[in-house]
Amino acid sequence: MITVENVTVSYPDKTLALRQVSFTVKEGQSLALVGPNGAGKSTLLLALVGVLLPQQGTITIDGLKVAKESLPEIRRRVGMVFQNPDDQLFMPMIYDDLAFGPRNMGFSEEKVRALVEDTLERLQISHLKKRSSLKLSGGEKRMAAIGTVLTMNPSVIVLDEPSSFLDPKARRNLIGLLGRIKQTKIIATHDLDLALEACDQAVILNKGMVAASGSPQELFFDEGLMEACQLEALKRR
Amino acid sequence: MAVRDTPIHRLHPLIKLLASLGFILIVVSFGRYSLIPMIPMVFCPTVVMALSETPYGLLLKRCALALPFCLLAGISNLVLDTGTALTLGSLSISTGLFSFLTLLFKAYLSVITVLLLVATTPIHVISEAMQRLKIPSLMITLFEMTYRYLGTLLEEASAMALAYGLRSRQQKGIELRHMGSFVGQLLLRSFDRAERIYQAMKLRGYPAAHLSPTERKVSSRDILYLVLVLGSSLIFRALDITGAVNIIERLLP
Ligand SMILES: Nc1ncnc2c1ncn2[C@@H]1O[C@H](COP(=O)(O)OP(=O)(O)O)[C@@H](O)[C@H]1O
Ligand SMILES: [Mg+2]
Repeated sequence: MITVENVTVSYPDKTLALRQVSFTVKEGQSLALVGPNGAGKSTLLLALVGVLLPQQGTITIDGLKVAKESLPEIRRRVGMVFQNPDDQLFMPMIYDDLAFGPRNMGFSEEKVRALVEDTLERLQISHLKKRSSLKLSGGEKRMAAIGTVLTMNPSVIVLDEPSSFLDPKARRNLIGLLGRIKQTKIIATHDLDLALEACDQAVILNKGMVAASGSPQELFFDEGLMEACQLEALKRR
Repeated sequence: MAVRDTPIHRLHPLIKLLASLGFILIVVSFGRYSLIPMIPMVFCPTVVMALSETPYGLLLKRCALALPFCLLAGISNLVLDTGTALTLGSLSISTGLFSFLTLLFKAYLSVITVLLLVATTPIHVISEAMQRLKIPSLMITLFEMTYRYLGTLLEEASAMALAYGLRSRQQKGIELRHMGSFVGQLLLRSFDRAERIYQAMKLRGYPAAHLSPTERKVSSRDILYLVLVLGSSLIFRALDITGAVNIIERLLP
């Protein structure tokens, strides 16, 4: 269970990125965080993993408050997939990228190998394990970036714009995978179709504030609301 | 890069680290005019390069990237140190040029050594070896960050050069009047990215508080390697002492 309560975050240059944001996500649920560019989605995800600490309000993950003292434990519980996979894949080989987290957790090399092989299999990218991330396609990089987080087996996974850099087929593939990930998920995106398929709950952010929250079905087709939030409503077929 | 399987790749990482550090120390300890006596020092890197099947071209290209910095460091010698070191026919070489070339050569050998180490040993294995040597963790982090930073710098530079080339009118390369903003942008962008990468690393438990429980034993083959590298380099160094005396004698009026 994740609770975000009256969270306000501003950057060192005084940009107020989040204002009094509140919502909760129950265990195993999947929340879509939608909003136009600059709405504060990425900022919120960074606050969830404690890269940014809120000036006001609190965030708790399974009862543990995100704060300086709790960061190591919070980061074991919450895995973050960055918007740009190039930021997440920094080892010479994909195998080592997936092994990076487990190795830092002090697992033996056999255990690390089992975890990595298992995850590669699950993501259907076993053939990439000896490749360098520099030479992969957008879709392959995305899968590998998700893999780096899955090998650490967090209880919550947050993803920043997971469908960016993907072609339609890779995007399909991703939606399928998101459905198979059983952990609690928070997905920041402006891809409403993806949010509709992959999430059972949505929060709409606009200018750093919660504009609406509810089920994707009731929010995403509401033309008035979507337009007010600079988003394009989905059309019913 | 560090994926091939050759006798060099199979050596114990701690041994490779010690051999590299030792080799660099010996290189650095050569006198400031020991350009010629230092030439045999290319022996070890060359043999290691061949045994590890590291492509020469690639290594030279990466090495070329470090040289501008060494050039900057060495230029002061050219200006300040103007005695005559050597006369080849009618050509006299100033001591400044001589010490400058020596410095360049030292830098080149050191950079090649580090690049070879990195090319034949996965980075996390090197930093574990450093940890086992009780090198302060701050230095290890610095080493790893430099390694990654250089990587991102290269990536960003090539992406920007491509974007520039596609929109510039004519020739290859970057026009001088655009150089300033190009370099400025490059530094900003790569700092930004390096910071995001560092965040991504921290979020996955970096730096680890503990060593991985799997440690390899040092074999007699590893020891042999260490002895060969350091032994041969020490011999070259010892031979130089006489060489250095000769040159200095020639320099003195
Ligand atoms: N490092 C930063 N420093 C200052 N302001 C920032 C920084 N990152 C983001 N912002 C600002 O914070 C606001 C929210 O940004 P962000 O969370 O990235 O939005 P989103 O991910 O929804 O596009 C924007 O106004 C943006 O300009
Ligand atoms: Mg964003």
